[in-house]
Amino acid sequence: MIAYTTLALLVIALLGSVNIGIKRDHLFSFLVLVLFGCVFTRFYWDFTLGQENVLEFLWTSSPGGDIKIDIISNAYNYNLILPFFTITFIALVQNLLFRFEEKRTAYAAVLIFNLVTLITMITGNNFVQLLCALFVADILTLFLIKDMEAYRRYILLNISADMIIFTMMAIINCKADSLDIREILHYKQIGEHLDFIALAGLTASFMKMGLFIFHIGIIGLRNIRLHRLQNVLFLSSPIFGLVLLMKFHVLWNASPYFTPYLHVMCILSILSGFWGSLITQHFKAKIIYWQMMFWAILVELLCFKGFEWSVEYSRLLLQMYVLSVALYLIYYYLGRKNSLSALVSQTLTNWLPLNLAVSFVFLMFVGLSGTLTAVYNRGNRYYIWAFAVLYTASLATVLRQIFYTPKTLLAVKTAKLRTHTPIFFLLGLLSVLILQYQQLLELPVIGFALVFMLLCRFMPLSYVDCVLEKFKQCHNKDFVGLFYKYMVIKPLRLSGRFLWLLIDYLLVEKMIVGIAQSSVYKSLYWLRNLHRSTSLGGSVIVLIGAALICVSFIYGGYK
Amino acid sequence: MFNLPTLLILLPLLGCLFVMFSRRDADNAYHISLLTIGSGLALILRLFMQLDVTEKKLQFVHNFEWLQNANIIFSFGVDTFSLLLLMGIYLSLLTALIGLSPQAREHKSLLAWNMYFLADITGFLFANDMFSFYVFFAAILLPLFMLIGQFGGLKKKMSLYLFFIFNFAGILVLLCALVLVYKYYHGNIMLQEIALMNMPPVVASVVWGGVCLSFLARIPIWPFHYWISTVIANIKNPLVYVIVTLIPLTGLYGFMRFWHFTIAESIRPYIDIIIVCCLITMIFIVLIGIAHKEFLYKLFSYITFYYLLFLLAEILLSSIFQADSLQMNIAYTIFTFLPVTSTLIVLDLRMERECEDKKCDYRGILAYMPKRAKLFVFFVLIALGLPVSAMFWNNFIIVSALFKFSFNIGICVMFALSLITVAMLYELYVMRDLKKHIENNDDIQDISNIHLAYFVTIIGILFLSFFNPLWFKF
Repeated sequence: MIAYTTLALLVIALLGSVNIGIKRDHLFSFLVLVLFGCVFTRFYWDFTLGQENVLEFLWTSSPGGDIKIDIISNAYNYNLILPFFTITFIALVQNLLFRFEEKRTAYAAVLIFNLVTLITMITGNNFVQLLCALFVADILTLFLIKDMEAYRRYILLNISADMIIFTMMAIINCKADSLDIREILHYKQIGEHLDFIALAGLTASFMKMGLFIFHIGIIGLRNIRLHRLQNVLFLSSPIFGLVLLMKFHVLWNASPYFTPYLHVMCILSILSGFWGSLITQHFKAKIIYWQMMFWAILVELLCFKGFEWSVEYSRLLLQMYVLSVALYLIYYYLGRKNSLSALVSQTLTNWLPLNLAVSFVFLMFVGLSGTLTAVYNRGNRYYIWAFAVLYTASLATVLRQIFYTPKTLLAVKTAKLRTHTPIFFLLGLLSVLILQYQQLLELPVIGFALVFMLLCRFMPLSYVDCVLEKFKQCHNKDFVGLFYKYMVIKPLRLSGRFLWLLIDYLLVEKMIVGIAQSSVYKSLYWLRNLHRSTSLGGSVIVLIGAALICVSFIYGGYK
Repeated sequence: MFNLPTLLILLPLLGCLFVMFSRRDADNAYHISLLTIGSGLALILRLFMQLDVTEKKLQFVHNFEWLQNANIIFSFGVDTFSLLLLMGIYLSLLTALIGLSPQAREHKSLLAWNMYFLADITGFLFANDMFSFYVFFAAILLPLFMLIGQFGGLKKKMSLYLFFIFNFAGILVLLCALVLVYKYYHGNIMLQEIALMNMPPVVASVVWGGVCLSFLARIPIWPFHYWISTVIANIKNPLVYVIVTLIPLTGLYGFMRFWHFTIAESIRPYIDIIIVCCLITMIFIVLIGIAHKEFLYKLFSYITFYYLLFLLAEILLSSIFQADSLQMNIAYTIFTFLPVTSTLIVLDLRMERECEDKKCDYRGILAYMPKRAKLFVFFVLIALGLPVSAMFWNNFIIVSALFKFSFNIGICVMFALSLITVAMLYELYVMRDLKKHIENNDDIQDISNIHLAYFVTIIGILFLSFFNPLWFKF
């Protein structure tokens, strides 16, 4: 039952949050992993049994409707949660094996809290519950990123997305008179502001996923540690954006703008991701761009299948995550340098593990191709082809730029380093066996694997570099950043200053207050003059007094 | 024998007397103030225990004849709404007191006027009749006038001038309106009955126009916002700052008391003007907040935005919502909003002062104040809608109701809310900016453990309100 799993995870996360000191940290992180593994096993057991039940409790009541916490256990939710559970588990193992966190237990706790939030989001049916999950996820991301500089743009975009979602839910709630998400169908019948809701909601979802034009928030994360970046990309806001899309697509789909907008954004994201991954020299930025391409194709695949999550997507997600772990291994054994040229200089150290890591990347690439082939008939074929070709080209270019440049190959030859042909052969055999077992050994998979290998080995790198060099200056400009600066931030600030000057200073201070001030001074001046011993002043005072007597005589009870 | 509401009005007055006659040394006046506020909070909790929260009418009603004149009777009473607001005010003033610097704690006049203000605002919130309402509405200005005169900063002459023009004009207009009511009713009248009175159309227009203007003068709505922004821009004392930010609450409360059931027909045609002014001011003040570099000004924009949101909700939604339930939603939000804003004021002014004392750069300050930085970040996030307080879902309900009334108004409100959220978040980043930072860790004092415990208690109170806004009612 998902509710018990969530509760158990919450307890583990709370235990992990306890500060136990650096000395026992490794042991405690291991214990957290074991406990998590137990809960995971139990979850998988429940998943295979396919138990269905609902845990629902009333949080509070309001005139706008009851606010409930729902944790619904059903096959669909199990299916959707399982890949994220697995990714969290792999992340915890990675956290334990590699020494990249000073406080491993605390980091593990953050990951588990994040998973709890995600489960709450996936299983919830109440607007307030969804909003809470979104906000909490944003805060947890701060702990995942642990870098204020990197967090800046990311959180600004995400909070803006949250505000849009808040607006969207408020509109639905006001029309449907219910906080229950299932009532969106009722709202669909009412059909007011549907286009606005669809476009705003889809934009918010894209902002969270970091698709094109909104990727500026995620690109800012390139300077954080790679394992943290991976976890943000696979477990944090992009996933929340995706879940949001799956929950609300029924409503958004009613707008005629939904599908074109979605397709345009996905195409732009795939192209922009491909281009960005080629042109940037920053290794982590390349990973971010690949992830951007991946989210775009996943959204496209989901769109084609009516946003119904299935096992293939879980497999795709997991393969992509493991592929990113394999890339992490390359990065790790190349001395954790960010720049591609710096990475190249480290290729001769850690030769064996590097070879293994590259083989691992190849293996995961073949797996990914296999899954893509499996969903080929159930998705838009052009998108899948485009993604597969561009992704293969991009990944192969990067591997060639690091490992198979003529200079590197010469250095390897000079150093007389062994080539590990048996390992490659065994891994190749393993991949063939797995694909055969999964019934995925099809021609496109073999074709892509061969093309990938050929590109890695024989791509005309000098020509590619020459082409890319021409555009590097253009890329360094950060046009998207400039767009935000000059189209959003500056106009807002300028309008604020202009309004202050126009309304506060000119209109209120100089005119209204100024007039009031001068009237007071004028009145004081006149009154002072009236009290002077002049005949005119005396006459005016007498006249005013007489007028007052007359008024009081007429209206003061004369009748 | 006094009943509890009357005792709550008299307690701060007694505190004021004790503060005035206390010795100057050893923070006596400060401790008396703390004790008074603590006792007041205890009395409020006691009142809550006895209060029937389901009852819509005022409870514990107590009447006093003034000068043996049967036409002028002061009447006081409480309901959940007023008591919740009072509790929020007590908590924010307590927070401001805690945030006073050691030098400011020795200002007996500051503490005495604070006590006097507390007595006035308590009387104002508990007022049941026209006369007591007016008396306390006007009396609130006296401590403010004195406090601005004393702590108004470099431009205090200008601040006092603006304060005088707007507020005294406001109470004069209200006086005229209430004199007319007195003439037509031939005596004092309970607040909730004024809306039901039969008056000639012209008189009704004058009365309701006067009432509206007097309340609007207190709320930072264009063009009345100018006095409060000028006053606030120059104040550096947390207690005075918090007191000034409470003034719009009196205007808002006035609207809520007078428009408890319905908006008077005579001013209904002018309501659109108020709404437009409200929306323009909201967006305008938020944009100015973005343009300003000081966090306190952004906070002022944020506070103004919320007061205007409550005003809009009260004006627009009393017709479609049940008035009482809407008021309770607003009250729950204000109950959270007041302690949160006062904490942010205190923390920010303290940081500014620390920087002035140490002659260091204000920017990047959060980087070397771990406890204060965490508190500050957390309170900013609560203010922006982090789901750990009653403010979160009450806001959702209020905004949702605004959308129900008008889509365009809802969009304007959400636009302003998003802008102020981004502005405040951006400020957090600026405060954490290490690039412009020159001082080291030892230069600046972090928050003391006692203060930390206090602020954590506030967080606890807010967190419990997330589950049940009236959790302290047993």
